Amino acid sequence: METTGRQENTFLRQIEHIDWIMVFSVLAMFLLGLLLIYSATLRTGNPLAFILKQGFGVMIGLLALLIATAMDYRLYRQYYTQIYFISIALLLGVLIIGKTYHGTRGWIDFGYFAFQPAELTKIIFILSLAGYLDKFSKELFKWQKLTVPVIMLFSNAALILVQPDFSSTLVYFPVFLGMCYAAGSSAFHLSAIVLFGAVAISFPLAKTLLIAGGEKNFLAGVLSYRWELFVSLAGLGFAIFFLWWFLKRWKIRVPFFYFAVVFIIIAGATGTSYFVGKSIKEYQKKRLVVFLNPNVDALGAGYNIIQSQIAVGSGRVFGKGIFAGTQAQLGFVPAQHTDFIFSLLAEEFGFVLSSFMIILYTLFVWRSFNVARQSREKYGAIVGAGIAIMFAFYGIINMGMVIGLAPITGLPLPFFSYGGSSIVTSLVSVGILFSIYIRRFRY
Amino acid sequence: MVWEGESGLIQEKFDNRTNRLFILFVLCMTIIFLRVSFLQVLRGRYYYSLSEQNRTYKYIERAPRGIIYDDKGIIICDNKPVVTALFYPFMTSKSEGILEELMRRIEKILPGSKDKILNSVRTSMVVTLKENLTKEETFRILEQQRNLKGISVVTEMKRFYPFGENGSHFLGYIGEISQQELNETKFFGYRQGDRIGKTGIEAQYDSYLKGVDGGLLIESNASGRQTRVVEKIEPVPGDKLLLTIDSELQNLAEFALEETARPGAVVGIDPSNGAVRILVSRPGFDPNNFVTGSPEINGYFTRKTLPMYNRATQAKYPPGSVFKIVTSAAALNENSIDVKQTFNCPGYFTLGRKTFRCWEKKGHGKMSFSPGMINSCDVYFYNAGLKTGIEHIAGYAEKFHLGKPLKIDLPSESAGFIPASKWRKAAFPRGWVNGDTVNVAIGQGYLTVTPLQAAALASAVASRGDIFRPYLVERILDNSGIKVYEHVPMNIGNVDLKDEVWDEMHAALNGVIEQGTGRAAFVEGMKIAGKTGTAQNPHGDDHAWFVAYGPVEKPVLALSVIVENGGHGGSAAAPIARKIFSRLKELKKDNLIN
Repeated sequence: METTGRQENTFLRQIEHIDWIMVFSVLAMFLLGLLLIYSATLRTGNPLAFILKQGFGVMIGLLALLIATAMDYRLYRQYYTQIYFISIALLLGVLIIGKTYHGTRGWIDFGYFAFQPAELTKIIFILSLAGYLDKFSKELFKWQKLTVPVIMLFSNAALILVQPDFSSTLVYFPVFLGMCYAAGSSAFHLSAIVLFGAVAISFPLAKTLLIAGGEKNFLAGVLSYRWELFVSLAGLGFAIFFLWWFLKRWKIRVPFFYFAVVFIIIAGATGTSYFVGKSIKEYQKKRLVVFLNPNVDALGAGYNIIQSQIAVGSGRVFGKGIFAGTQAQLGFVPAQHTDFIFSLLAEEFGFVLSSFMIILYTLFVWRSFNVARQSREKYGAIVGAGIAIMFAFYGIINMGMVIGLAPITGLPLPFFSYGGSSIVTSLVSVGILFSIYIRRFRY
Repeated sequence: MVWEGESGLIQEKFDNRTNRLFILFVLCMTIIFLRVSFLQVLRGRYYYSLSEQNRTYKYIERAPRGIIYDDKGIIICDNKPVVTALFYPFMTSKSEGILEELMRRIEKILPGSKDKILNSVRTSMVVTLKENLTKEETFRILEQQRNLKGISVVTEMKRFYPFGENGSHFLGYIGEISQQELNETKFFGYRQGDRIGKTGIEAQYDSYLKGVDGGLLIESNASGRQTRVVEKIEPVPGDKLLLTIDSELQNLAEFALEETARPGAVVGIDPSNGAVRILVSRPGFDPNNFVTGSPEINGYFTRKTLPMYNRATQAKYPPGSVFKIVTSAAALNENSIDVKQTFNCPGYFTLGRKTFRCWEKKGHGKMSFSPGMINSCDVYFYNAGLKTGIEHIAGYAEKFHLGKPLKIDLPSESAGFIPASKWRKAAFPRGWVNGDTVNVAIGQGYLTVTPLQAAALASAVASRGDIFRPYLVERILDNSGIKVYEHVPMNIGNVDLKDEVWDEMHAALNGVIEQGTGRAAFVEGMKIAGKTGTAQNPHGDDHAWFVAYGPVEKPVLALSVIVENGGHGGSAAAPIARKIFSRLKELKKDNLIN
């Protein structure tokens, strides 16, 4: 009896140390989000249904937030391998019993609401990856120590890609890189991974972008994996070798090892890109092309980007007034209650509120990073950094997309976008941050 | 504060690195902030006016597709005006009585319009009341124009193929773009409901033919309902295609093949540059049926004679005795036989325990090269083929560009097949036996060629070895008559035989027409050369082949004819060639061709 009493006391004492700035910024964000969702769904004639559903998500999320805050986050460190396998089981489970919406087998249906395991697994990924990084933090400068994290990353990403959910996998990569970097992995090793990934992915996209059909020139040959590719790779090899030799002559000593690694990575990635190219769908390539030049298809796929920019710009300084955004209310902006909700805010409330919102979001991410810095020990710090990076990435990509700075990826804006799974996960993440923060002092 | 159980050093590194990540984030947010300020503050007025204009929508008027001409400027694919009645919901007064009256009147002229109009008023969208108005309907609407406010009659251009079935295989047909095609990168920028070429030139040159759609820009006022037409954008018609096809010869060949009442193909190429003058595949389809959506089209895809199948470029047949041209080119040029060398033909040929027959059961007796070719003596070529060997025969077949597509500017061309050594090793674990060589020497066995390749073979012989890429589109002109494309003849291969071999070959092939198996193609006053063929067909009667070129002195046309199940090439296919060459002679006399 006495122990539980003491623990409760501790928790009550700890709760006093909660980060009030974060509490208020989160509160402000999802309340504003509810208002925006109401405005965005007026057109459907039944905005209350959307609000109720989102409100339900918020309630569940707040409950989960409380539980996550109360739970000692160090429990996750203890069981990080187990929870990793739970996340894999979840992703496998959804492939078997999951429901398919819009061609993606990614939801588990509970009647009134459907739950998207991929939303939860990214938090589990942060918790389990942090466990590994924490355990081996003194050896992380060795490249061998990156193999387990890479396997964790790709097992998650691959299982989500087969659903197929292209956008949910995106966040894994910056979170992975940022966490490994913060925890102390070598920047050279991480750059090597980035280079590999960039070449492997950009290669098939370059083909779509640069050559339309069966053109016959050198570039087309390179991108179509014909003999020209091998000539270019050999040329690149010589160029790299020459660069090394040249630097050496000028007494700039860079070990040959680095040049060799760069070449092997590029060659390996080109090979891998062949399979990547086969698995990327036409419409996904198309989206990227449209992102780079929306006017090629102003009434088709480029429509979203153009209309959403018009919406943002037309809000001017003071906005068109609540419920009065013509772009939004006449249905020119697509997905305005989910992915494009920022454009609605910008249109109806103008620069006044959109700049406030950017600042609010920045404030929130700053507090998240602060949690990482204030943690009493390393595991909490790495988890905090992971969550902060996740929110940072969502914010940048979503807002960037709305104003035409990033491709249309279908990533939601945390706390604002309509969607139960998204709000619940965001609130749970905040709960974990609280859990770390309130336990920052030693007694 | 120092982490539990760690040295301060690790924590310092962590702090530095997370700080860097945070700075990166702030940098990104700053860019977003600047961009938002740019959009909302600096360019706000511009975007605001755009959002106002956004209350317009487009009623698309499709651009007429480009017109296709033959080599003499005769239109072989046209557009025909079609009258359509449209209803604009915002031009009528909203009062019930007037709308009732309007619907009563139009219902009399165009039954079934009432529902469409009601629907249109409800959704504020323009609707098509009826396409393909008859003259009478058009006049009745125009007469009552004053009482039919909101209904307008517009003429739209619809595809029209004046020759119907003739030439359908190279022209192709058009149809609505499918969902699957919309997702392809090739069809980037196309919209749902667009009509695209599905086969033939219509498909191959769709990007030139389609033109740029225009339409009406319709604006709504602040209340979002009542609208007016603000702008009419004229569509830009598609580019004009000038083909190499000679529609007179084309039609002649179509009718000649039709008379045989059998499926088949005729291909005619200009040996000097690869221009395709004739490209017939029978049975064909009437592309007009795809424009009107006639139920006839269902049969096109199910009928056993495969009318949608372009036999000229897609069908593969054993070349039969036509291939003796290749066999003799290999044999003579490699000095495996001499032109004067004779082989005795008793009507059959024994190889080990197997007996191979000559088509002439009585036998031809002693044969040297020229009589062997003229009489198409199988036994002569069994001997010649064996002496030459399969490697040389296959090698020369490759030189003649058999076994690979010629890359004519039409979709889905077949490659045909020559049993090259790599394939033979894989397919015959026990080895390639002489019996297989003997079969290939007379064009039977595993060999297949397309009618287009057979014509290219004749063309290569006519031009003493030059093979040009066959092509159909000579020039493309845009709407204002500016040249946007011109074909440059492309030499894609050369069969370098010794001059005396070509001389012997030409003399022998001329002999085929003058006194041999191809007499049925003889044209008084024009020296032509050719070769008959009979392709064995395990499923029925043999296919009749004939290839020819003429005039021998300066060839202008190389021809291949195949009549499925026609029997002997000399009796079924050669007469078609005679008709074409006779007409060519008349045209030449009238100085219509040089």
